[in-house]
Amino acid sequence: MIDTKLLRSAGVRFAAIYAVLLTLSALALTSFIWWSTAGLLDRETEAEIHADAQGLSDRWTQAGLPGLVLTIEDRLAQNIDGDAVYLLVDETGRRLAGNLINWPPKVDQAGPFFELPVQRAGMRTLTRVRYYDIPPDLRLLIGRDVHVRALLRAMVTDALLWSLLIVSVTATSGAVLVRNLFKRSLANVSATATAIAAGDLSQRVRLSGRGDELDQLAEVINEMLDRIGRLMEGVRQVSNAIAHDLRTPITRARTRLEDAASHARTPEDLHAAIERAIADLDHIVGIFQALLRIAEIEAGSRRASFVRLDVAPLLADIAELYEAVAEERGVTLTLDVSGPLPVHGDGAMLQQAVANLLDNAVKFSPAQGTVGLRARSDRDSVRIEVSDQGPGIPPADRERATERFFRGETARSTPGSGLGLALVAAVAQLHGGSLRLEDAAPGLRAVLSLPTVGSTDA
Amino acid sequence: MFLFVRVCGLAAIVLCSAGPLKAQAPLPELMTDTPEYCTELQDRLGVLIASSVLPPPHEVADLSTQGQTLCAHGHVRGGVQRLRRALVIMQQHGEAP
Repeated sequence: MIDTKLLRSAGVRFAAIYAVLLTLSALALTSFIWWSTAGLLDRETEAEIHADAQGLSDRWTQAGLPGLVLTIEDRLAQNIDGDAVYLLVDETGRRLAGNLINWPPKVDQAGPFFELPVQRAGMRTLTRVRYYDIPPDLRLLIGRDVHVRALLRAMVTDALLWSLLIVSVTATSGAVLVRNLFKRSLANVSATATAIAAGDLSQRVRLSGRGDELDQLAEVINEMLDRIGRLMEGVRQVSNAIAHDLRTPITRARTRLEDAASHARTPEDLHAAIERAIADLDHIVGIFQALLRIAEIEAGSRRASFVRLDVAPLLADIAELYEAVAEERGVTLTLDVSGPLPVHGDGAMLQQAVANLLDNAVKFSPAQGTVGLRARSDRDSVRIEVSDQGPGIPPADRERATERFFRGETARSTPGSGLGLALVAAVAQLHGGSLRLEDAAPGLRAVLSLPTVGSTDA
Repeated sequence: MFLFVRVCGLAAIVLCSAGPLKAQAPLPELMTDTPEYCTELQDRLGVLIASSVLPPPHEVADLSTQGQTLCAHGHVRGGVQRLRRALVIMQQHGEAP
C-alpha cells in the first residue's frame, strides 16, 4: 500500500516530476534516434521494393508476361548487391521467374510487408518482402535481403534500450537526490519556524552563503522575523510606557481628589482640587489621542487625502503662531523659507509635525536663545529644519528619540509625554520622507525631509 | 557489465538470424547463390560478348575469369557477384555510342 503521507510530500512530487520528465525526454530522444536510424533502414527498403514494383508493373503493361519475366531475370542478373528477391508464379503456384524456389506459405496477403527468413547458400538469412497481385491470375513477390540491416537495426535498438534503462536509473537516482536536497533545504526553515512557534523569537534561518534562491528566501524570512521582533518589542515598550506614564497622573489625580474629600474646608478648595484632577485627566486623554493619531498615521489611512500643496505658506503660518509663544519665553524665532516648496501630502498633518518640532525647540531653548525655522527645496526633496540652542540630544539617544514615550535625561525635568517626535517621524514616514536629528552645536537640529512632487510622481 | 550484456545480446542476434539452418524449419531457398546460377550468368555474359560489335573491356574478362574460378571453388556468392559486375559493365559497354 502506498504511503499517502509520502504522496503528499512536495519533495516527493518534485522528485517524481523530475524523474518522469527526464525519462520522457530520454524516451522521446531515443525514439527519434531510432526513427532516424533503424526506422530509416526499413523505410529505405520499403521504398526500393515499391519503386521496383512500379517498374515491373510498367513493364507488364508494355510487354506482357514475356517482358515481365525477362525484366525480372535481367534485374536479378544485374543485382550486384545480391540482395534482390523475386518470385513470379501462376495460378497453380508454378514459378515463372525469380530466384525464390517456391511461394512461402507465410506470405498470404497482398499489401503488407513480411519479414521472411529464407535459406541462402546453406545459411539462414532474413528478407523483407511484399506480395503483389497481377490480374487475372499471377502473383508477384518482391523483396530484399535485409540480414545486415536487421543486424544493424538490432544493434541500434539494443543500444537505445540500454541508454533508456541507464537514463531511467539515473533519473530515479537524481529524483532521490532532488527529494533529499529539497527536504534538507526546507528542514532549516521548518526548524526555525517550529522554534519561533514554540516562543523562541531569537531563532533565525541559517544562510548557506551561496546566495541562491533559498538564501534569498531565508534572508526575507529573517528580515520578516526581525521586523516582527521590533514590532513586538515596540508593543512591549509602549505597553510599559503607557502603564508607567499614565500611572503618575492618575495617581496624582486620585490623591488630589482623596485629599480634597478629606481636607477641603470650603467649596472653593473642593472646586480647585476637582479642576486640577480634571487637568490631569485631560493630560491622560491627550496622551491617548496622540497615541491614536500616531497609530492612525502609521496605518496609512490618511494617504487618501493627500494633495499637491506648497509647504512655504504653512510654515509661515506656524512661525507666526509660535512667535508669540517664543516671545513669552524670551526666545527669538527666525524664519528663513525660500519657496515654493511643493510636496504631495496632508497640510494639517505637516503643520502638526512642524508645530511639534517648534514646540520642542522653544521648550528646550534657554532664555535669550534663538529658534530657527528654515526650509529649502532641491531637485529631489523639500528640507525643513528646526534648530534650537538647547541642551540637544546625546548621539547615543538620537536613534531612540523618535520612539514613543522616550524621554532623554535632559528632558526628564520638562513637561511632555514623549510622543512629539514619534508623531513627527510617523508623519515623515507616511509622506515617504524621513526625520533626522543632528547636533546644531549648540542645540539640536531636527531635519524633516519630504520628497518633492516631481520626485514622488516619478 | 554493460559491454558484456551488449556483446551477449549481439551474439544472440547473430546466432538466431544467421546461424546454420535448423532441420525442423524448412525455409524457402534462394536460387541465385547456386553453381547453376553461376553457369546461367556465364552464358548470359557469353551471349552479350558475342553479340557486341566492340571487343569487351579487359575488366569484363578479368571479372568473368574471377567469377568462374570462385564458383568452381565453391565460393558461389563471390563468383556470382563478379559475374554480375561483368554483366553490368558489358551491358553499359554495349549501350555506349
